Order: sequence, then C-alpha cells, then structure tokens
Amino acid sequence: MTDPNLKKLEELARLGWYHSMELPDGSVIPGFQSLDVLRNRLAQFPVPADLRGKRALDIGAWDGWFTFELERRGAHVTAVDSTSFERFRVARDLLQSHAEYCIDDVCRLSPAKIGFFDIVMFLGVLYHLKHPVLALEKVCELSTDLVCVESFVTDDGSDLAARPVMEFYETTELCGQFDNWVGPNTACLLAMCRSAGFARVQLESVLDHRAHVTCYRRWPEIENPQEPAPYLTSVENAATRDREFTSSNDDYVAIWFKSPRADLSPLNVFPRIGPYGSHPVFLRNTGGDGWHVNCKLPPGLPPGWHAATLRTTGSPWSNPVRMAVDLSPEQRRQRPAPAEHSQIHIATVTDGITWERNIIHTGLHSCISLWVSGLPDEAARDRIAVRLDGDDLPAIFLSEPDPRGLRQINAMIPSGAQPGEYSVSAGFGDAVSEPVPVRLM
Amino acid sequence: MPVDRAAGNPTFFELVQQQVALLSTKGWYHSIELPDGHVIQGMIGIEALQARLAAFPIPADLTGKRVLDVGAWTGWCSFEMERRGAQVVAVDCIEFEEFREAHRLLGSKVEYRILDVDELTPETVGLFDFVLFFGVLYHLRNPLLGLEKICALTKDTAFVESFVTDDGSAPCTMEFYETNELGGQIDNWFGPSVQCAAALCRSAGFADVHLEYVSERRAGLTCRRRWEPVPANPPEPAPVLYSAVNNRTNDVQFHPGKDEYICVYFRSDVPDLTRDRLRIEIDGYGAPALVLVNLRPLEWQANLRVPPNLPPGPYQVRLRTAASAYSNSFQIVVESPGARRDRAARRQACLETISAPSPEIYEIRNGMTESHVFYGHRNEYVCCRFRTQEPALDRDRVVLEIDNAEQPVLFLTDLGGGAWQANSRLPAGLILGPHSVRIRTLTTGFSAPREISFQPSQG
Repeated sequence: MTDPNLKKLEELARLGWYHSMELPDGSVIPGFQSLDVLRNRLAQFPVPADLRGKRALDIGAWDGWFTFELERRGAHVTAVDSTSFERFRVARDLLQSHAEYCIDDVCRLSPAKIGFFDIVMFLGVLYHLKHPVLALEKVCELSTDLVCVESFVTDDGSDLAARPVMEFYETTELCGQFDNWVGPNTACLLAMCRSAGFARVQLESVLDHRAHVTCYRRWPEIENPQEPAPYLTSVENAATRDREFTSSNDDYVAIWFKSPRADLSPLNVFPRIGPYGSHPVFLRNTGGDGWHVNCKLPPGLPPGWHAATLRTTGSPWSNPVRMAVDLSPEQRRQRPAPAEHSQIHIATVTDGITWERNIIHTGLHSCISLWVSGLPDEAARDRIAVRLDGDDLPAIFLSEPDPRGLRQINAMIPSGAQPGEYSVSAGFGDAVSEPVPVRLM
Repeated sequence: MPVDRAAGNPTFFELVQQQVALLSTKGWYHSIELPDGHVIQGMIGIEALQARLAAFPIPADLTGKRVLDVGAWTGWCSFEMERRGAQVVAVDCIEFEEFREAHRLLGSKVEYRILDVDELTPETVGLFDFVLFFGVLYHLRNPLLGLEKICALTKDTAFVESFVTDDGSAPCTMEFYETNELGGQIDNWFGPSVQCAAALCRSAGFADVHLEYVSERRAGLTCRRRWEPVPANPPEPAPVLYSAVNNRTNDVQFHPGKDEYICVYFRSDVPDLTRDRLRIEIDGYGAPALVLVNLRPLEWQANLRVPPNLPPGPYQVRLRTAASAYSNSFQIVVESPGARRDRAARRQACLETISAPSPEIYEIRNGMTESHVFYGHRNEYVCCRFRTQEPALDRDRVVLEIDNAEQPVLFLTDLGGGAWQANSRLPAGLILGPHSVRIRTLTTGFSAPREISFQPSQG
C-alpha cells in the first residue's frame, strides 16, 4: 500500500465520516471530504438549482451528502448503496430527510424495483464494478433525462483521440484496494457511456484522475428549423431485418430515410425512439437523397408502441414511424378498432411484382401496394400510415386519385419479415381503415 | 504480423475484410469431413481446425463426458467432441443452416441450442465437464460476465480462445471498440491483452489459468476449476483454518447470485507464503486468492471471491499451500435473506418447551489462541465445546448466550460421542474483563456458565 493511501485510510478511520455534513443548526460534522470538495464535485455537472417535482437517484450514496443536497434542491431522492452505512441513517435522522435508502448492487437495479428518475448521480462507482458497460446500461435504463457520471480515469483527459483502453485490476493493483476493477482512460469512459445508450455524452472536466461526464437521454429541441424535414421510408431491426425489438437484447434500429442534405454525418443526424435520443453508430448514403442510419435501441422503453423519428441539425422532426418493443406478434395484431367515422377503405392489396391479390412476396426491396378510397383531398404522403400488424410502414408513394377515386399507396416491407398471415390497414390522422388480411410469402 | 495495434490497422482491416469476402463465397466457416471421406471446404481448413484444438489439453477419449461448445458456428468442434465420445451441446447466438446440414450429413446427436451467452445457466443447459469457448470473448459487451457464466457451467475445465491485442508483453488492459474499429466489424467490443485475458479468466472464478499459446493475435487459455492434486508426502505443514467469513458482513452467510468475497483467517508455519502458492477450495472448486496479508507472525488473512452460481446450501472451505496437505474445513452457508428469515421464525416458535437435561460446557476457548483470553481481533471465535444427550443437533437448535444476550451460532461441529462444538462471535462493545458464556438447546435449560476474559490489544 502506498503511503498517501495509508494516510488516507488513517484519516478516514480517525474521522469516521467520508462526507462532511452540514446540520440544520449550522454545525458541521467533519468528514474526509470537506464541504468545499463535495460542492466542487457537484459543481462539475449542470445540475439545476431547482429540482422541485423531480425524482433523483444517488447511486453509491455513502454518507449521503449528494442525496441530501439534491433533496434540499427539492427533489424526491432515492439513495442506493451496496452496503448499509449507519452514518447515512444517522445523517438522514439529523437532517430530517425523507430520502429512501435502498441496499442493492447497481447491476440488480431495475425500473420495476425503483422506478424511473429525471436525474441520476453515478459518482465514484464505475471503477468499482466488474461489468462497467452493463452498469452504464442499467443506469441509462433508470434515467429519463440526465445522468452525472464521475469516475476514476487513468489519464488527464487531454487526449480524447487516444485509443479507448481500460486497465483491469485483478487484485489490489489500484491503491491497494481489492474493490477496484477497471480503470478506463477518458476516451474509453466516454465511448462506454455513449455505447450504453445515451443520446449524447459531454465531458465536463478531468480533475486529479476523476472524469466528470454528463450523459443526456434526449436531443435538444430547436426553435426555428430552417432545413426541410427528413422523410423516413423504413424502420427495421438492424440484425434480423424484421420489426421485432427486444429490450433485453443489444438491439439496433436501422432507419432508412430521405434528406436533401448531401453533407450528413453521424454528428448531424439525430435519431429518436419514443422520447429518447440515440446517437448514430453507422451512417451511409444509399444513393441520391437516400440514407441509412443505425442506432442502438435506447434502454428503458416500456413494452408497447414507440415512434421512431429523426431530424438533422436544423430540421423539424421527420414523420413518426410506429414500432413495437417487447410485444409478441399476437399482441401486435391487437390494435384499437378503426374509428367509426372513418371513410377509408382498402380496395386492393398487392405487391406490385406478381400482382396477386392479398399476397406479398418478401425479400430485398419488397413493396406493398394498396388502392384506397376515402382519403381526404389534403392527405399527404408523410401523414399516411400503412400498418402491418400494428407496425408502421411509411408510405413511399401516394398517387393522385384515379377515375374511380382510388389512390395508390406504396410502402416497403422489411426484408427480414417472416412469412405468415398478417393484417394491413391504412390510416390518415385519427381515421384508420378496417384491416385487410394479407399473406407474406 | 508485427506487434502493433490491430484496431485501425490497415493491414489487419484488409485481412478481416478478405476473410469476410472469402466467407461470403464459401458459405461454410469450418470445413467438415464427411463419413465417406469427402470434405466440405470451408473458410478454415481441417488441418487448421485440428491444430487449434491440438493446442489445448483436451482428452482424446471423452466417453461419458458432457461437453459444451459455445459459439459453435458450423460445428466442427462439436462434431469432433462427439467423435471422441462426449455428449455435446452446441450453442450459438444465431442459427446456422450449415450446422444443421452438417449435423444431418454426419448423423450427429449433438444438441443444438440458440442462446446468448447471458442465457447460459445450469438451469438452461446443465453442467459440463468441459467447455469450449472459442472466438467469443471479444464479441461480448461484458466479457467478464460472459466468463463468469462459462465458469458457472464448468465442472472441470474450460478452454478459452480469443483475439488478443499483443504478444504477451503488454500490461493488463483491454481496448474498447465503440463501433467498427476492429477489422471493420461492428460485433467486436473488447480486445484484451494476453495478461488481461488470463486475469479475466481468474477473476471469473477459475482456480488455475494456463496460457497455452499466443500466435497471430490469438491466445489459447486452459482454465481449470480444481487445483492440481496434493503432492505425495507434502513437505510443508498443513495450515490451520480459523474462519471463513463474508468480508462485508463478517458472518458465514452468503447471498446466492451476488458478487461476494470470503475472508479466510488461518495459521501457516510457511514463513514466505505468497498468493500464488495458496490453494483455497470451496467444496472442491478452487478459487484464487485476491489478497494475502501477513497479520502477525504465522497468522494470515486471504480474500477470495465466492465461486459463481453456488446453489443455496452449506459449503466447506479449506486451504493448503502448493506443497502441503489440506487444512481443516470451515463451513459457510449460501442462503437467501428470505430463507434466513423463515428459519429464524421457525426457530423462535420452538423455543418454548424444556424436555431434556441441560448440556454441560467442558471447554471454552478462543479459536485463534486456544486460551480463554480474547483480544478483539476480527477473526476471533468463541469455541464452546459441550456435551448433551440430544442425538441430532443443528446450529438452529443451539442457543448460546454471552452475558445473557444470545449470539448466533455460526457453525456447529459434531465431535462424536455426544460432544459438540458451537462457534459464535463476541458481541461488539464488550468491556474489559470477565464475561460469562452459557448454552442450551431448543428443548433444554441452560448449562452452567463458563468464564472468558476480554483483554483488547492496545493499538
């Protein structure tokens, strides 16, 4: 054990408290970390001064200074630690705090156990964990907006282009303690945070081998979008090319879209699934104004329907495309009944290749064509929903009415769609047609 | 290839892309030799497959053994294990038509399961004598978790083959690949150095990890769950094990499924004992020591991880040096907090009736010093030896009191002939001086008290 470390442990043993604690009467319980040190750690992050009405989670609470500070700012706070600290309970009584105290391991936390949180503090925990990516995914899953990550790093953060690499501590290599497992460099910490499923990740500072990283789950909204909106033409599971998304898998969403911008890069495309942003891990031009982007299915989406959408730097959000997470094919067939006042009626379903009725041959570039009556005159392509067992297939083509008043709608079938019996409906706004059976071959 | 980084290396990128192109034309990854001698040519030839397998000490005769092949792909290894007589389960994360085809052509009985590594548990696939874990580790987002899963399924030995970032000279690190940095493929997540791959295997719970080879950025590791046999006529004296406790709670209780650590306190007369010469085992499964501390002359403490996935029940901890016989055993218990509460409630319900004569304490001592003096060390036990006429006892049926306050009996040993030993801890906050200990069972009155002395050491 190194001398400074031994000194630290001796000092800790003498004081008993790790965090200093300011009591209501103004007196201070001196801890190993002074109030100034604690305030400075918190000040590295953009934590709002007013947290009224917010739920906050403090993982690795120790004596609880951050818990009580967030509570002082108005939040409902849950503190989590792997072992129960008597000092936390003492401080909670002294401060008449209402913070919940939960003893559990990070990787065993779940929204089902403790719910979702607007803000999560994850300070000084990551390097104590054996499965850092799993832990960051858990933390991401529990958060709905903002996560503050503070971790030991092996460098000073000055070289973010460094190869992302992580030291592994089998025994007591780090500071003579055997509860330290990994030491990432700053580039690796940022990469793991991004990979966990956050929309964007911001390095705030690196102070004395401690990196402070703010992780955001949402993209900022923009005020006056000047660019034209992109148009989504297809959404698929990137691996299976079908429409099945499973939150427990490391699933990726493949989005095909059209944008007139020729200079798109992963830095100016902003995909969103439900409320959560997910940064592009892959982007390519498919020819002309066609683009293909892959992003991770964000953690924490409840089972059900979610809208996939995206924007570019200065554009409004694209057409939303409904997709299902953790729903069985049976559940996806259970859709709300069509609106009674709907005049929309599907006259014909075919695939545009064999022209057989109600039979679609799947495969690459497979298409479904509907001839539909009852669409209002103002119906535009980007507001038409073609629903295959409840999943949206965005319209890629909408014709003018033919002499019979029928309009043709074309939509792409996911290339990995499994053969079988499905149903298809067409909708515009609240109005949805009666579903029509269709067989994929 | 020179020892240079693989990620972002154009030569390595080119190599992987060539392999991918070759695979897309061949269709088959492994070559497969059919019963008629005909060979389906895959991307990897039969000789290369045989050479990779030959680098590991896998028995030629596997009759009666269960073998798991994780990441089976086309299945050459699975079918080879079957040819050697094993009952084989092949696992992959996606289904390969080529595996099915080879399975049919070979008339194989290998069981084919589509599961992620995360889903591999003793409940889903059972336990195996040998596990092949070839070319999977670096595809996992949580490599240590994957190895823990593998360890929990392995009864004897796992053979681990992986991409590595160096030739064995680099420190213990792993590279993280956020997207397609490694070879342009998006399904590579971590690249461990050779040292790191071995450290991960040990941390996962394997007792003995041996590096078989490093070549062309691939490493092969043999990971054994059991220590080598005790040497004949061991020259060193066997250690004496005082206790084995949960390092967080200081009792003998462990939670199933949690990542928990055991502190063992023992005496060894070997003066220059080192961590790598310790052989600690839990019901036969070895566990490497993470820390070894020389507390006082001949008195030691070592910390180790509870082997992964122990089902609830009692377990015997014991240890030896590389050149000694095993120590005595010390019992720990894996039990969920719920089961523990239920047990306490059942016991409380029995504490009413007295129907048998009281037990008699015939010896009481500090488990470390073998005297009745206690110093307040973390690893001190009150060892209370008593006689009773009750034929069948377990620790839930024994009540031990120090100064009239009950202390949990952490373990109970049947010494034979109606003699028993109950071990408890001293309560916190004892004052200096004499204290009384007495004992009863659920159906007797208390024994006569015996005295112990508390003399906390200064500093």
